[in-house]
Amino acid sequence: MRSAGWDDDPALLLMKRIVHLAIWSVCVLWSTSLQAQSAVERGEYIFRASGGCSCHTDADRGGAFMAGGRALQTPFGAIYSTNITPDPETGIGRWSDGDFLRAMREGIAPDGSHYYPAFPYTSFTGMRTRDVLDLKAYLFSLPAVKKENLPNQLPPPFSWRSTLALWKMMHFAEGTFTEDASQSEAWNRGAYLVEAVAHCAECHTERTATGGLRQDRAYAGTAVGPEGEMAPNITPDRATGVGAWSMPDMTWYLQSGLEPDGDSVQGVMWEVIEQGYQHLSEEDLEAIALYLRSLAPIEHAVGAGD
Amino acid sequence: MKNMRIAVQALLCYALLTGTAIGAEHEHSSEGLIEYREKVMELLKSQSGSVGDILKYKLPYEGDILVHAKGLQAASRLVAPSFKVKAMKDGGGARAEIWEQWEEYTAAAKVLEDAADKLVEAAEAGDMKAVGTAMRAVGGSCGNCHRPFRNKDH
Repeated sequence: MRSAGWDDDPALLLMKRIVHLAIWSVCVLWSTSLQAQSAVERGEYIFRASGGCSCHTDADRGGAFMAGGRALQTPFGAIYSTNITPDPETGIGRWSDGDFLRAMREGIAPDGSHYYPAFPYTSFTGMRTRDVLDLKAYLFSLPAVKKENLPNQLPPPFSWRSTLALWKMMHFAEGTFTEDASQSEAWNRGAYLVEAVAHCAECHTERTATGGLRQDRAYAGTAVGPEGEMAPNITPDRATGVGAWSMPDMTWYLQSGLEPDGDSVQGVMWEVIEQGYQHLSEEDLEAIALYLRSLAPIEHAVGAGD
Repeated sequence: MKNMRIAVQALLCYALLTGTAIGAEHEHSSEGLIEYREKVMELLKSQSGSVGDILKYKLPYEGDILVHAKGLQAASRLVAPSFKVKAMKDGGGARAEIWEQWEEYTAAAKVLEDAADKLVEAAEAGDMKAVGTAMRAVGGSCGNCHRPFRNKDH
């Protein structure tokens, strides 16, 4: 004969189930909160690795953080960066994960229109899904700023976004980054950061007449870089690139903005270091330096004949 | 009357010659001013480059960082004064905004002075992590001043 226990008393059994449910709920909420926090933290790191998205802050005119409005001068006209704060009316607050992924990796807006390649989706296309979504989590953690986007100042036919479909056929190769099994883990990490996240080629490569990157001059610098500034040759050519820089020279430069001779970085690159690379781990900076040093050296004195 | 005319002509010649001489002297002074302040900048570069070398190569000269930090601190005090007389040259680094926005310029130079003070404090404490942070701030103060006041690509 079995004595009466907890399991036999319906009231006690109900109370036990309620306690279990409460404990389970607390655990789920706690775990979700931890995951959300880490996604934001990871996203902030990706944000830094991308160079701090400095184009989206109109710093010179005291613009709000990530609220856009900065004029990006291109040979085709001025393109204004957009509000990427989570404001639902003027920013990206209503974007789904799918919207954000499509924008970053396909260059397509939620309304189906094409983005101008001043937004470097041509590099971001290589980013891994989790990194893109973590970046979205970080951006959505920022204060929402209500600020309408400014219309671009482009003459026809460049103002017709439909023509960008043709541009993409000519210059855009969609696809996430694939590792090279013959290379080290550090090299692959550096390649991923340089090629996809940090989008170094977008500023440090000369462009063709139609605005595509000159692949035969990849990373070899251009006299007409972002905001009309010169972007130097970062291939390991000793005479015209950074071939004479040591690995520590390169990582120190990305941390401090100071060149080997003690001179300081100029222009937009300082923003990129201050908002971005300065916050990366030493291992990641070394990986970036390792990858850049493995590129084919290209002799190209920027400014001469550009 | 004739004597008067000769006297006026002589006076005009003197004025012209003196004016030319003053102009030449002024031009010469500009070159001197530019050369001098370039040397002040070289001082800064040399000291910050030396600290950078010790940190990035992990050289066994940590104790000498204080010497360079004090050198950088002293040189930082020369930056704003070395620009107080306007002097520019074609293809030079200095932008007219330095003199047009003198208060903003001196404020930017003060940021460097403060960063150099923090570097000295960190070096005196022998805290290498703080030295690294302070050097990044020194680099930042250079970058933030150069952006509005130094010609691009110079």
